[in-house]
Amino acid sequence: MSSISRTLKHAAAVLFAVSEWGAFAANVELLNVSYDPTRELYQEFNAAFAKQWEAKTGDKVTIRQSHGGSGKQARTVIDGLTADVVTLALGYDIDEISARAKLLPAGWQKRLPHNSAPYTSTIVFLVRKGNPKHIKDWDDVAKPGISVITPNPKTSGGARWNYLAAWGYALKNYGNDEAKAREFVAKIYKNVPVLDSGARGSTTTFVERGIGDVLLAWENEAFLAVRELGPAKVDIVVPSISILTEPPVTLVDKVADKHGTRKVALAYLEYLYSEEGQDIAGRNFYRPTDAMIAAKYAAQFPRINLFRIDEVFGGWQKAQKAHFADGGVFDQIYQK
Amino acid sequence: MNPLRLRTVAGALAASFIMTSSYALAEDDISQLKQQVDELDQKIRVLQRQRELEKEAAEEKQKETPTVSSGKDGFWIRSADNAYQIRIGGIIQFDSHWYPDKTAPIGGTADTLILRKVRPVLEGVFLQNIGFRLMPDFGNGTTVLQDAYVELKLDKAANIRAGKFKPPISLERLVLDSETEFVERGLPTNLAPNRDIGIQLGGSVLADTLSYQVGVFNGVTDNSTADADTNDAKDYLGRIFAEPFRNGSSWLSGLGIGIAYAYGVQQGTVTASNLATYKTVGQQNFFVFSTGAFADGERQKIAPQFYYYVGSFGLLGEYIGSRQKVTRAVNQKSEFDSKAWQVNGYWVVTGEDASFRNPNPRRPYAGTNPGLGAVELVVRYGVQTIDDSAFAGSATTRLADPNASARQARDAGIGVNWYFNRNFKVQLNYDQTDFDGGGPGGTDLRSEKAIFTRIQANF
Repeated sequence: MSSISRTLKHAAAVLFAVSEWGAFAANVELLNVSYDPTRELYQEFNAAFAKQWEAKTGDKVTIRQSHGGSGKQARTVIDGLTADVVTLALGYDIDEISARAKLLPAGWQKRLPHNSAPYTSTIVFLVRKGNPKHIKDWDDVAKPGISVITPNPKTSGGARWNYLAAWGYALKNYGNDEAKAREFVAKIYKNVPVLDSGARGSTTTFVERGIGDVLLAWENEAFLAVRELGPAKVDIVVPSISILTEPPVTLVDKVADKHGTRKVALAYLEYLYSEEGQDIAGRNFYRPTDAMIAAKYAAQFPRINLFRIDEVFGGWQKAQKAHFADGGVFDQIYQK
Repeated sequence: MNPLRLRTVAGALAASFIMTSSYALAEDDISQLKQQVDELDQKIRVLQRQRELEKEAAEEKQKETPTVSSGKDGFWIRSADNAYQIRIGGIIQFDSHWYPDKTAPIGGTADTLILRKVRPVLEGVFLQNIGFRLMPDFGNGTTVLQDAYVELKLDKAANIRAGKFKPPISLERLVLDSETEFVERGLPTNLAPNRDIGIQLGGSVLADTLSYQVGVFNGVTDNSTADADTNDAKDYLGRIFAEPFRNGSSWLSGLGIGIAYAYGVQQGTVTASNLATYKTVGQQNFFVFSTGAFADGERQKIAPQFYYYVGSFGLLGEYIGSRQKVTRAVNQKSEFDSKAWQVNGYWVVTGEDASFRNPNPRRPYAGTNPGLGAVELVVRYGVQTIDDSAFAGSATTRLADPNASARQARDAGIGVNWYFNRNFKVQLNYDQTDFDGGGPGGTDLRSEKAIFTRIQANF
């Protein structure tokens, strides 16, 4: 069939022309599923990374952000939200994604420096201007008549850090007496009039709705509130003891591989450790892990006696099981 | 001291004491009241916030509730996250075929009303990337399983489909059965399979400007459907289709061009030839292989194709060349060539955009808003040619009888389509097919004139 042969030759020419399109630069899209208060941090960081990535590779990368309570966000990923990377409030939530959805290996936390936490933070108090209720430390938060705003530890990573900070303070203050610590934390939660699902919701409750005397807040969230509202509206109070929070980040391997985004997603996470990434973290009131950048922002952060979760609770798995699992201590002490 | 003055002074002192006491009392009350107001204010704010949170929680819960919906695309049941979806749909086509010229042999068929397609459709998606489709057909008084396949949607660039479906050869064949612009497809589909069983990898890349399919199929007789193979060999198909300007807004954005190729081996017998009978668009035979001829070896097809849509106008064209090894008498294996092409033109008179899908009426006919819908004029011209060698040889060796089968059919057709809405349309076609050969004594078959109508509901 000579006519067919001729047509095949023409088809080959068309194919060759089509193959030329492969020279186009790629447009890549990433989804970063994060926790509540990181909106501003990642807005700035995403723009910086996209610029750097395009300069380096010629590819355009668009990063979509999703924010909510950390535990809630982890569940949406488990239920099928196709996150290329997760940047959550605590390691337990990422462990859950690994264990339940098998989207990333169990040893994910060892893949990046500092246990995959490129920045840290802690828990502080945000009070009304002039601190009219004279709240200076955790004991004041537990006093009757003090209205305390904190989110729900069942859905919010920040709330779990708040709870554990209070518990850790009580243990240190009452000679590691678990019963007294439980009683102390129960008093605090008796003062909580409303539980939001995430840290940003609690900030809204305290700042915009004008509810409560004190907000238990991420340090970065407290600084942000002061910056947004101005120092005439709220004050930050630093307790004598608090917890070192280490919000981790990781690649969601199976999703990234399916999307073909592993390389750019990894570069995205690694860029958080770069000089620029660390600087952006510092500017957004997160404590950089890089010593040089941390020194640059040292004056910004108050000195606090911080303890790690491993030291007091034996790690997230134990803390979760004892305190936040269904029927755990939190369920027992918080009965509304 | 004057007693009067003393009383006056005492009175003044008493009044002053009473006033001071009253003021002190009022200040305490105000302070107490202020505290109560603050407490009440906090309680009200807490209640308001709790209502807000309850509303947010209710909205979140709503997002997790499965939904049942119905609309122009059928009836859907979806899980809240859309990971599980089932659609129930269907097509009913009520056609009429009229042949004004009753001169035998072409045109000798009785005028008839038929249910051309009666197809319930069940399709769905599980876990967001596992799809399926099931579509039997009860039209024409028979029961045929048209589509039955599962699909693994790995990625936009890589979908695996396995089961029974349309092999990707003819462009007009790939038009959805509910969306054909003519009541019956044109001559090139004589040379392409209808449905076949196989497995196919397909997808789109380069920002959807290039789509492809490659697959392995049983290999059915042209223009037919089958549920099992008759020999061990399989057909291998590939197709690419490019729309290089689809993401722009230029006048070329509606241009698509592609090519398909198929290779396989067909093996028939004297009693089961595995060879097709070619039909006019009026659905009457104009080429029939001689008794005893059967498919006996390699079959190849090549099918360049294109469409172009700009505004209310559209063109669709394709060519299919087919070569099949055929045997009639012992040791008389020969190559049988046939080729067909056609060009269809569309104009949506009411101004809607023309596309590979039916136009979407701007003013659809609906119960509450009886718009006129969309009207489209269509025209086509197509030719199918059988290689002269098919008619060579003696009465016992030739592949076809030149006094009964035509060497060429040329179809010219016009039509008007009235789309009431996305779910209901009425079509009217007139086609005339002229022939070379096929008549007694080397004459040409008398032209076929066919008027076809269709009333279709699909959902």
